[in-house]
Amino acid sequence: MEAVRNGQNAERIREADEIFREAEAVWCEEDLPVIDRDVRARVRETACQAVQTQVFAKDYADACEAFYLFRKLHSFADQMPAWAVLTGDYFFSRFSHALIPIDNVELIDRFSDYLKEVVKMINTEPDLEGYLAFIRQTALEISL
Amino acid sequence: MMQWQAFCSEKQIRELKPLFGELQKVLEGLETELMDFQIPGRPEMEDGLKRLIGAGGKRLRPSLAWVCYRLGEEQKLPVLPLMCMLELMHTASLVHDDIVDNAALRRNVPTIHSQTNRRTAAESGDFLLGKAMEYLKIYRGTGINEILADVSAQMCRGEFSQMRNLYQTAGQNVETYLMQCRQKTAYLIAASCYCGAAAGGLEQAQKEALRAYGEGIGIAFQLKDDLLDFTADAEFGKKRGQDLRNGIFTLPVLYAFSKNPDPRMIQLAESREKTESDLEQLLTYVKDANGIEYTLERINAVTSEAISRLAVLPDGMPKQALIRIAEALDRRKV
Repeated sequence: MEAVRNGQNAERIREADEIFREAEAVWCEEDLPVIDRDVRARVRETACQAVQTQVFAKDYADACEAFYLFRKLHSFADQMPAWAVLTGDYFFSRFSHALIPIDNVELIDRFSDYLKEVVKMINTEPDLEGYLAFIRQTALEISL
Repeated sequence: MMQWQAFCSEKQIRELKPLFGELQKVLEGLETELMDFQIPGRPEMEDGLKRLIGAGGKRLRPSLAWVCYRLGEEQKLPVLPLMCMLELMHTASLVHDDIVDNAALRRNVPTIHSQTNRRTAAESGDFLLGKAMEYLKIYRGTGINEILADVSAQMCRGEFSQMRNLYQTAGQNVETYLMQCRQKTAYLIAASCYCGAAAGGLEQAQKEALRAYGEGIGIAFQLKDDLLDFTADAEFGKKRGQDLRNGIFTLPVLYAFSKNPDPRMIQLAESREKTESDLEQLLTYVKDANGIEYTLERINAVTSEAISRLAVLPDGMPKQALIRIAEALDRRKV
């Protein structure tokens, strides 16, 4: 069962990378700001360091990174509507997948509340530092 | 809400009235739940979403989930949260699709991005996804959340496939198009049936039969929707020839190209600048190649197949209702 899950995860990661590369090529053509790979790595690292047990470190990092990409991509909706919206939605589905193995009600509720809160900020850039603080605080408070 | 009565004989209406009456009440509860939100500081977002949700729609997915749930004898899980999740996911996808397609109207009301901007519309859809997440905890460990996460990825794949193939006929055919229909539309309808049945405690074989039924009527639903591009009808809020104009090649077009490949027509279809006369030529070409008849035949075939999958289910009002729903979708005005 674990092997099947790992196989599916590997397949999903390959697909996510492929879709991200495809979108990246389009926004480079359009001269739009690319999503910094260092920032993605920083999100993952923060998530991995925030968890108290390593069991869910990878899933939490996957969820946090996918959520970051989902929000960041949707912030490009005015410049690159189709690609930004679809790719963002795709990463939301990746985020949902990553939450499942963690199986933590409180975590789902925290992300749900956070999402409903951040969309209230009118046309501002997603706040990276605020998001990293949310990742740390959530893991700590729910003892992930 | 869906007007089932319009597609039933008087005898059938009498027979199914208790069930549809019950469904009507549940849908009213759904409506209340869906409209129960506030977005302080973003009145344009709140207004746009409430206008869209309030404009109705068929509520097909939650209705199917409920009817499938009612087939079960051991309804251990609540179904209303599932119905909310399905409708919220669907509505979020509509808001986002309207941005992608740059659509002006949805359910005969202005789209959110046309009244605000794309960023606000994208975030409006995101708000609905955040709201849908509130219900996930109820279905932990049932497999329902996994299915919904898979379906949302499939929906994106279908949209990507459509976007990659815009204005291109190469690499597209009847089969690739049907896969796109499954991904964009049918899998969520199939999941509505399957998850409703799972919440209702049905056996695996019955859940699978309902999944197959949902997939079949989902394909029929999408094909019927595509056919509307060939028939002018303001009732559906869709202007004739819009898909063709936007480089989206649906089943009637792909069938015409496969049956009667005409390089001039292919070139015309692939052009990004089409005049009204170009569109008329293309519509006539598709009609003459029997693209519309072929699509209608496929709709009838998948609908019949979908209904046949219900054989493993116990007889009764819910099963009859599913048959009527399939027939109602098949008979949507073209």
